[in-house]
Amino acid sequence: MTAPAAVLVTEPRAVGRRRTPLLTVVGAILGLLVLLTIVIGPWLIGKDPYAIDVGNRFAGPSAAHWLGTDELGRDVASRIAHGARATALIALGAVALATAIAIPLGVLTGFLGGWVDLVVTRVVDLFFAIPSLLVAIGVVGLFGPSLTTTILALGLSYWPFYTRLIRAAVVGIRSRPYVDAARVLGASRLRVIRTDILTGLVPLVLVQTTVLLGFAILDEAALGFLGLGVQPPQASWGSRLAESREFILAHPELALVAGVPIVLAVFAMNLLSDSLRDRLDAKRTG
Amino acid sequence: MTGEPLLSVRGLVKDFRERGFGPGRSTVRAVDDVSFDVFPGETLGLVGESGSGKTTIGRLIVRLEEPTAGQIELRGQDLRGLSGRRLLEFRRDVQMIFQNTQNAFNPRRTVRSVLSDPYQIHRLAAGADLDERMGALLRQVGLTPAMLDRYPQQFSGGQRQRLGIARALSVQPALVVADEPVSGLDVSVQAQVLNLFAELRRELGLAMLFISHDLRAVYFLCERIAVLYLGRLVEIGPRRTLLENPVHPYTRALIGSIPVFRPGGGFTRTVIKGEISDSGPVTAGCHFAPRCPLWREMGQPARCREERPLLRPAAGGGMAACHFAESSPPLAANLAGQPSGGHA
Repeated sequence: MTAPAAVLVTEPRAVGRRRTPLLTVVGAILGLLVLLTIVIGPWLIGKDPYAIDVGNRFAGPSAAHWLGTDELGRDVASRIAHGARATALIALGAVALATAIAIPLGVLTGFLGGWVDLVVTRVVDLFFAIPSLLVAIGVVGLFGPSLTTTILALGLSYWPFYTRLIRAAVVGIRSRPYVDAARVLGASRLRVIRTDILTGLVPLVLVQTTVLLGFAILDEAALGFLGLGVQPPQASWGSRLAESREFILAHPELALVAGVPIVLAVFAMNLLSDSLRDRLDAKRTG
Repeated sequence: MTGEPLLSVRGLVKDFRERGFGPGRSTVRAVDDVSFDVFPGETLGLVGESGSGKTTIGRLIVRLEEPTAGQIELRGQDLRGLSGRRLLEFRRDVQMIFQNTQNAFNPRRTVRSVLSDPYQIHRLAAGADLDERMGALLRQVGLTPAMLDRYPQQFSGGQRQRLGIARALSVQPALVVADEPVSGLDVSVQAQVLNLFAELRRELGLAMLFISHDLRAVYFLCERIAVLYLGRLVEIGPRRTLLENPVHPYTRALIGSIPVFRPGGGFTRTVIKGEISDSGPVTAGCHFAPRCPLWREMGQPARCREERPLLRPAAGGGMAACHFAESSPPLAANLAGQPSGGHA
């Protein structure tokens, strides 16, 4: 072999700094706001969300109660900040549960194919025939409403479509020439899954996690609104919505204050998932 | 071309079934009773149109697919049912170079990560030794060790194909199956990569199965050439014989399709009539007959539609599968010897 030809050496192209899209900035700011509410909100407000003050019901915003008080005279700001923690816990738990089922199942069915694939795919199809909120209500009916049940209910209603998504992605990756190349080099199935399949799933999982977090926040609110979520007096965004419902004609501002954080958080998640999707395009890696 | 063959393929058949369940699924025979040998250090060219089954043969040999019937032997050892440690040993002997596409390499892994795989799988090297061997490997294919930490998409098409060659050579195989290794590359880059193949073959004594639809590339690199049509081997022979005196009507048409520059000006080429798909499923006889110019010239003899022609020795040391190979007049073209000088 002659000395390496100089022609073959090219330097990596300098990557021009792209301007961050406005919607990404908005999503990041809103997301940060939600995160701050969860982490330091309760401490910042410094009020007991469970302290009842019947003499001070439906009070407007004041220095003592930033967002006023509710039907039992409890501090609304504090209940929302504490509720954010419960809601976040539920959303994260539900997404983690769905991911923990979907990734192994999706990889197994998509990579191995055969009868395992056939059986699991049919079961997933079966679940598709049932509206996911109905699955959630069924689970709550079975175990009784609580924070843990809400996590279980939402996680179990998300796994079928998530599994199908992962399976489709795995089938796509499996047929790539680089997977063939790994097999020809003698890589075991486990090694191929680790080096090629799972790494290929990272962008999809990141995007889906943010999308599902948005869904979970919304569905927690829906379950809470139906009285099937976190039970009073424990605070969550969903239960806050349920509590304010009774007084929606007399005091609509309570429902509004309960609803706005949900809208903002879901909006933030959707914006972030969109920008993640754009960023993680494989062609631009490196 | 003497002594024991390195790779011996006998009666290879591969059927692909339509997806779905139960009976009534149609079967496509992609490879139909194909036999050939590859000798140590030899490069055999496998040519044919798309759909002729050449890629499937390559995938069968590297065991990405299981044959429906037939034998593949490496140094006399049957490869069927190979598993575990024996399969891993086989993987070190036979490697594959893939067509250069965006997906030939995982875009999320650095060259270092991809190239270290074979050394880990076969426990060939680790630590500083691994770095050194990967660097040497890159130099061997005309790249630099500094490129180890780049991602595949930071390379040009030609460089990426060099990486593909490096990946296959990492385990020091005796046989390399190269599936369309230069298609999809610029013509100037094709020449560089073909030269690299020629050099590596000389230095390492590699045997190669070179799968291509590019006759010029095959002429440049291969000692022997096998021509496939619809999954069947129609002619196989030494490069010069096949080029200067092809006997099978299909091979003649294939060679006639190379545009030839005439000193008088302009190009001439003969074009085969019809499409590969026009023939439809051929159940009996010669599968080329529906498109065969010789068959029409001879008044469409019934034997071609009834009896399958077998490979038999033809003039010049090759083999051809045609009942009437002797009847064809010698190829009166001036292209003999023209491409054999090499194009790169």
